[in-house]
Amino acid sequence: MSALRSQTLDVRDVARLGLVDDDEVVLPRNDAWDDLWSRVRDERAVPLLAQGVRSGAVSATPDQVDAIRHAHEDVMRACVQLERCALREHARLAAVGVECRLLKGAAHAHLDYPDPSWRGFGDVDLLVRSGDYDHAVATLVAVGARRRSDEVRPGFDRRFGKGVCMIRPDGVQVDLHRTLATGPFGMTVDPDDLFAAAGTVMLGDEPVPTLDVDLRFVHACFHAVLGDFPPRITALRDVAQMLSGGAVDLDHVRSIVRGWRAGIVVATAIAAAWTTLRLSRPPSLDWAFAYVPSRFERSALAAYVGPHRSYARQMVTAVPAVRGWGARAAYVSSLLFTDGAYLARRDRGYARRMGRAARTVVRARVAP
Amino acid sequence: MVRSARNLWRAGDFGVVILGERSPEPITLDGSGVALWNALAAPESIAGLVASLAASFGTDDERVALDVLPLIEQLLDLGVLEVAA
Repeated sequence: MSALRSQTLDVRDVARLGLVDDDEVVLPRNDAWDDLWSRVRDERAVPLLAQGVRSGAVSATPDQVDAIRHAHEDVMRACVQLERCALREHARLAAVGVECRLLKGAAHAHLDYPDPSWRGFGDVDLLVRSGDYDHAVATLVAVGARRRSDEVRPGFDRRFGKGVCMIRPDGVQVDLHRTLATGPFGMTVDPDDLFAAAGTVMLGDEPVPTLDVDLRFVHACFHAVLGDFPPRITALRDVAQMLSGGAVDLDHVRSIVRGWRAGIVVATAIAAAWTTLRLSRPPSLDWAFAYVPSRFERSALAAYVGPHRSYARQMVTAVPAVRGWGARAAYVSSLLFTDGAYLARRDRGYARRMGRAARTVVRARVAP
Repeated sequence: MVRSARNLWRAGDFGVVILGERSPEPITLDGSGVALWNALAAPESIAGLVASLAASFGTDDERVALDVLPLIEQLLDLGVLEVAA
């Protein structure tokens, strides 16, 4: 067993806890501890650090142990409250005939980690079918929830959007998803594929449908690569955790994302997780590091990562991915000629919006 | 007496955080509360529970009963515990 010197410790070492057996961690003191603790909280890695203290893999002062314990308790209190919310919203949607799948945090915590106390989460994520999307939004609005952002145009989200963040009257955030990403990779996903198979997560004694393990892994990859840039450390840990658990059928995963023209997303997620967390790479993952993307994949990924990423670029890069000329025309038209309220808030006029669109198209073509 | 299967809960070094069916907010059990929580993973009579906790903590049944019975009542009210069928 090698003991890590405390002054070299960073949040990546925290993210490895419980994944790699041979690390011994000594927490730094004073300013170095303040910096690390701030990063651990920003990266939502408190449960992993708490688990490390509990298992004896982490050496900490009494004050540090206290801080970690209290923070962990706070995170877990929030998690059980969010699980109650998830149960209620699932039941509410089921009562009006809307089928849904519980995504991300709560599902990962119970199904993909040795114990749910290892994985915190901050909201409820529910996937619904495109045909049920508007009904699901209306059902939540009817009980006082409000959209966090306006729709580009009525009906846009149901046809082309990733989903919407709904804020309940109690402040809890419920994210309704229609597909797995904004932009081009959200368009190449066939949303019907997401309901083809299901897993189950038990919240209390209530079985709640979720994605099956392979789709859950694909979604973890999408979230890690297409969400925050640089990727959140806990999102990379999800990818590594799931692959290390042995339940993911990587051949099946690769065939799914091949159909979605999104192989680069899974390859990038695996390479990023293994590199960032400094994990030892088995031969079965060599393909991810040697992946050769198509031109579409390369162009699409550039809209999400790197210095030229932007929501606007994702919207523009998605155009070739929209299936069917009629749908493509409707998509472009919706983005250019938005709803009045949306336009007033974002661009203050059509001329300004057209100018911004033209500049985004030029940047998307010029930038790598 | 047994833990309700409808509880939403997490365990850690802080003890156990539990949201029972009738709990407005999560509660945290620590110290001997965790021992009670663990002991009631399977149905147990109050007498059996008291005897088991007394043995664990090296004290007498009467003392344990004084401490534990009010907590059990509270946990029943919150839906955290239920009377086993």
